[in-house]
Amino acid sequence: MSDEIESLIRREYEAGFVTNIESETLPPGLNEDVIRIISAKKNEPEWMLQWRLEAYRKWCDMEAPQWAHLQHPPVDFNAISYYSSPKSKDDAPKSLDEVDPEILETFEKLGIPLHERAKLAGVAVDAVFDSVSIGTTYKDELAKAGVIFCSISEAIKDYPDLIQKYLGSVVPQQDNFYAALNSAVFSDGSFVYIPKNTRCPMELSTYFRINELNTGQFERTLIVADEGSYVSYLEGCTAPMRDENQLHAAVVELVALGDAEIKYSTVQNWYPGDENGKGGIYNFVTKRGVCDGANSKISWTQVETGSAITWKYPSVILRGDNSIGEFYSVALTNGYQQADTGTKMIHLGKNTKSTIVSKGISAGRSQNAYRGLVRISPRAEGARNYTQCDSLLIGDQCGAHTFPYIENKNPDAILEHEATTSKVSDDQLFLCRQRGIDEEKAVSMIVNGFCKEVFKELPMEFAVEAGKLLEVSLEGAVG
Amino acid sequence: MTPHDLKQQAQQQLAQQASLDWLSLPQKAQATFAALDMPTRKTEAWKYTPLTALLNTPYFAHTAAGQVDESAAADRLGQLGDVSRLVFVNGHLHPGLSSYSDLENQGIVTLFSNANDAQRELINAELGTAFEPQQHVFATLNYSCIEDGVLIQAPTDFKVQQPIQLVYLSSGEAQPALAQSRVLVYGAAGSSLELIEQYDSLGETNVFHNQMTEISLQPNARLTHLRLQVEHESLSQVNGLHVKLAAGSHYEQHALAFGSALKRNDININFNGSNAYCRLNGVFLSKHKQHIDNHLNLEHGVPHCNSDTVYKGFITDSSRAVFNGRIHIHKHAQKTEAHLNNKNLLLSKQAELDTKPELEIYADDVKCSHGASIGKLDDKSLFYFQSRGIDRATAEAMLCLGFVNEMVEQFPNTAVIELARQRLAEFFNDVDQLNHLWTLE
Repeated sequence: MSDEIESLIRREYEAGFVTNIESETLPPGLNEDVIRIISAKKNEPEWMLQWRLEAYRKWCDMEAPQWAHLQHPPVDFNAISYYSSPKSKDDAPKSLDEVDPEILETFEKLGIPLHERAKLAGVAVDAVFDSVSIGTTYKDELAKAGVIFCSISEAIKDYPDLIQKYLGSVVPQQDNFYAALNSAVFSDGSFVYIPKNTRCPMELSTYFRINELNTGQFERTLIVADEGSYVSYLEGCTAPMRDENQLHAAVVELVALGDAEIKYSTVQNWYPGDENGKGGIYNFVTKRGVCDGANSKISWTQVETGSAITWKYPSVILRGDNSIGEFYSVALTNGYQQADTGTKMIHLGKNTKSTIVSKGISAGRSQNAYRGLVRISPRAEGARNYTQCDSLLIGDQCGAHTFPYIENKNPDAILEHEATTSKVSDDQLFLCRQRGIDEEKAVSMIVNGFCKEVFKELPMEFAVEAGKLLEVSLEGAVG
Repeated sequence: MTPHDLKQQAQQQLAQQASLDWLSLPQKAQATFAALDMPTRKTEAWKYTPLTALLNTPYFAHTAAGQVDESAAADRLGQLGDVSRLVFVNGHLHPGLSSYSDLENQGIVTLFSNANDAQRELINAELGTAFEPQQHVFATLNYSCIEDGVLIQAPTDFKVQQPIQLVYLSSGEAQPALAQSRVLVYGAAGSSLELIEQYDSLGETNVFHNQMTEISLQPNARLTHLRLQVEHESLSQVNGLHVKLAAGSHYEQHALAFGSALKRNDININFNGSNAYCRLNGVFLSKHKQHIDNHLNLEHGVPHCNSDTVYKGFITDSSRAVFNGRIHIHKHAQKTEAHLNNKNLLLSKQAELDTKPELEIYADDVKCSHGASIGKLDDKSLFYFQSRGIDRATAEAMLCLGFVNEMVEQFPNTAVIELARQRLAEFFNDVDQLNHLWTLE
């Protein structure tokens, strides 16, 4: 491709600045004492500490998964600091006004409307900076509707019954290596509870940022939608540019009871490393939802453009009859990025339906894999799955892979899987250029068209952001 | 018993048998086999195919073909007209049932034990080169001891008129028996050949058949390969088929396979020269408690090669079918067009199907697709039949027939289609709702 396009790819990572604030960071290393310290710092009740220790002991006996189509040196878990919080004069900030102005500025720079005065589109935000939650906006308004939206640390103290009931109910402590690690050391995250027959009055949103050097971020999100409720939740992430790889091992659990619906959207833009593949975030995340009651619905939408390595399979367990699971994904890799991402749809209930639409775009020297599982249990009468995985290759140094597992034990189920791989065709490019659209713009248009099916699932503000993000991430990929 | 009985036993027994002394492969294979672990449930390639029963059965390797009822055996061979035929009984060539003297005289079919110097050189150069030994433990077991084998050699720019029929019969033995046989097909440049493989049995059997077939097609060579795996359901079989395709060569395979106690097919196609073409057409059926596993791997290593794969599955009763189709496009294999499709009919609540079509692509200027579907008989089609006065059972049978027949009728040899239909009639004989399927025509 042309040189101009080459140069376009090399755009800078815009969220890559470091915020200079005083922070309190535990020395690197992991043992039971570290977990006790984390738990103590957060003034957690004893049962929570025991739960963490249990997870840690299980983790010690587990091995990091090797099956993914990823290559990276083994992570040294003793070189990571498991807790870092911005240091404030007293203890935790009591209100947004007490939050370090530098942090607020950071979120300002990132375009997060944290401060209520900067009201933007009425989105309630919980922002997590390194290991702790900085502040949650619109709390009062949400409280009026009965919606609980707070950091998980607060929830452990304020709503222990809900936490004890649901924490680990979808992703058990020993679920997998990274989930076990997260269960042991998770520092913060968001908790959402939507009461019965309530439609959450606004979009909820979390913004994650890793700032400190050599820290890992282990946030934990738990969303419970009680019967007949609805919530739409957005998640965004960024990190500074650093030469070292940083670990992000989050766990997200969703519980949808009867007739409830949860829509979870992610725009993931962790630092992907520089053009030589140095640095970047290892994004090893476990996300799973359970459609527990009849007629419930969980929908995952993700736009993955960041991270040096992505290992992530947002899944849905369709336990309730007539429940619906959806997965819409755009994963774009450029430079030396590697992504192994996809979904699992476990059909247990009758007449359960799942839809999977995955769009992978590989450019530069990246490797992009879709890995999915559709499992139909013998009881899942009338189950239905439709899967479509398309890959687009830009450049001859990258790879695109598809590994769908389909396991069916019910003759009454209908499953379809389709996958295609192709490049941006010369004909399409020619057609655009003939009409006066330059190559860069043309590729961007074609890619946007390729992803349209997924973008239309995103809430409006995010769809615009995702489109732009894709454009920037692709800059220089054409040539 | 430990799960490694099969391995230990095989090693002990094969050490006592003599391989052909001019072959270099067995020694290497023995070392590899010794170093490899037998697959477990955690081995990705064997995830859905449990080997516990196989590995725990003490199989004995036999040194000669056992006694068979020759007239019963002859009945199984089918009426394929003018063919050259080699018949193996439990892994050993049965001269009485075989007739291939014409091709033997022309040097087209040669037993390893009769090979001349040039042929020995060819065998040493080609055997064991079409696959990665680390990934095929049963192949290394087969090559650990090579007391004999068959070389099929199509001469340069020569069309072999007579199809060659290879028949592998399994019969009951006094003790569970390990039967191993191997065939090397070498199509010289510009040659053309038709190969018919028939895996059949004489009633119940306690044989574990570990088969290896390697095919090497030189530039512009063509091979049409028909495979019927229609043995008794008591058989256990691991079947390796490894193909190398040089520039401009053309390989076409049509397969019909029934499930059995254990049946695993590893089909591995290597594109080594540009403009080669490969077509894989297959249909597999399983009933009762049968198990059938087809693992297809297409290695597109060079540019400008095309492949088309269609496999259909028919699964009923408490049987289990596994399908894995992998298309691997290497970095420099630009302008590849590769398509793979797996369609399945799952008819019973106790049956299970696990399918995994894979794409692994490292080149950008390619067109690749795969598809997989699993479903039941279409209600609308059934309604259409019924609204025209055809009862439901007949309608179901006709739809199943159509599903399977679509693949069988593409076989480029009418005599083989006839044989396939006979075996299908036997297969469907005790499938409740379908036993009158083949009398409909």
